[in-house]
Amino acid sequence: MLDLMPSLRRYARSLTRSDADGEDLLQDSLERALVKRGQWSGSSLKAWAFSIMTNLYRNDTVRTARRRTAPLDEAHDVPSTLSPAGDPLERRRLTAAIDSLAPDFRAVLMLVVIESMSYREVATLLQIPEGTVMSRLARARAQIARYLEADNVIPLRRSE
Amino acid sequence: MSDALNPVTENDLHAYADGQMAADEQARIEVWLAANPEDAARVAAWRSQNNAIRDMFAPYATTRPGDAARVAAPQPKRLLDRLPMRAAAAIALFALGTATGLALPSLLGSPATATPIFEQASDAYAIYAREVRHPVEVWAGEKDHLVAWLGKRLGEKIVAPDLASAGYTLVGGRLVPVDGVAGALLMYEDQSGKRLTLLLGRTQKKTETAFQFASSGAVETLYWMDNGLAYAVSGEVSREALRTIADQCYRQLQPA
Repeated sequence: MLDLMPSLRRYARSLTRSDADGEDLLQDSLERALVKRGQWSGSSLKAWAFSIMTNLYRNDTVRTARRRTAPLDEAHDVPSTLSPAGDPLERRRLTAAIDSLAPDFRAVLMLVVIESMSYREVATLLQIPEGTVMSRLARARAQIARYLEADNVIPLRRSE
Repeated sequence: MSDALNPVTENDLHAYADGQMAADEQARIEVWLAANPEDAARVAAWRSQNNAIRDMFAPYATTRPGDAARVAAPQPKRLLDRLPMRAAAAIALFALGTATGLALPSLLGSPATATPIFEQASDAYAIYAREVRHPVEVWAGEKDHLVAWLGKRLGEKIVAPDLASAGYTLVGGRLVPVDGVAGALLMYEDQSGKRLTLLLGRTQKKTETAFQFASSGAVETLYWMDNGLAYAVSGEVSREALRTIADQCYRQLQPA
């Protein structure tokens, strides 16, 4: 489980879009996993831990659906010690694009792209058909692309 | 492009971009992409999107100082959790003995009439731990010789557990009788001079038991049996401290 901590932390952060909420989700997931460890079937520990986190996140978003939007400016609060490479403006736009995705779409995108899980693994983990994984992935990508195109005007607006 | 004959689906393109295609399938897609620059551009865009997303979230995949403790939250219980079957077996045997009145051989010192291991352990502690000049026969300076010698007499390869994490260092050891045959007594001491003893003795059967406590005056003993040997840690310390130490011993004395 300790080996999984970095990817669990990253996944939590990608779902919640904030460091504080990410750590909360991570903590809740760890607690849940420890309590329910008797239910682990012995197959992939990673898939099991990720499904616990995804379910907690889903339950939580249902409860807090009304305040689900995060301000753009707070959406990129990355750890200061490890600043990712690349143009900060580009990064901010991509962050905003990903943040605009619905939670279920974001989960699929993150599991496929960041965790390099196969479509089948994602389908099993999220308990949805593989076809649904594909359609969510396709729509998430299209939405990000649209958002990035439409978002081109933001720097101009900000410099007014 | 003849859509009716289109062998490459949208899903194929995603799978290709995500590197989730079998090698022979890949070749088919590559042929298609060479002939369809629009699709090739989309796949390229998805791939660069993937890379950008990975780069963006890479810094979050970190460990933090408290992680190990968070994952191991129920650690104090781990030792006992690991032995549920043994504990259950011990309880079942005990219950059986109680219910039937059968003189089952004691789990804790072969013949039922013999002095139980925990009494031998607390006696050994009481006698040797207070010795100032001759607490041990062989000092820790000759540790290799000590464990080899005691192991040979015991008929079982042993180690002197490292209890530095609990604040105790090895003083040395001596040969002692346990159940009438050769046993080993290892002595440890903390910085204030407080001592602990670890008694090892042969058992007649290869029984395994859970950890059990016994008190004799101020001396607490925690003992268990594992794979033909009986172990008992004794000292004038709290049961909690003793348990931590016994846990260390148990781990290090486990046959590999």
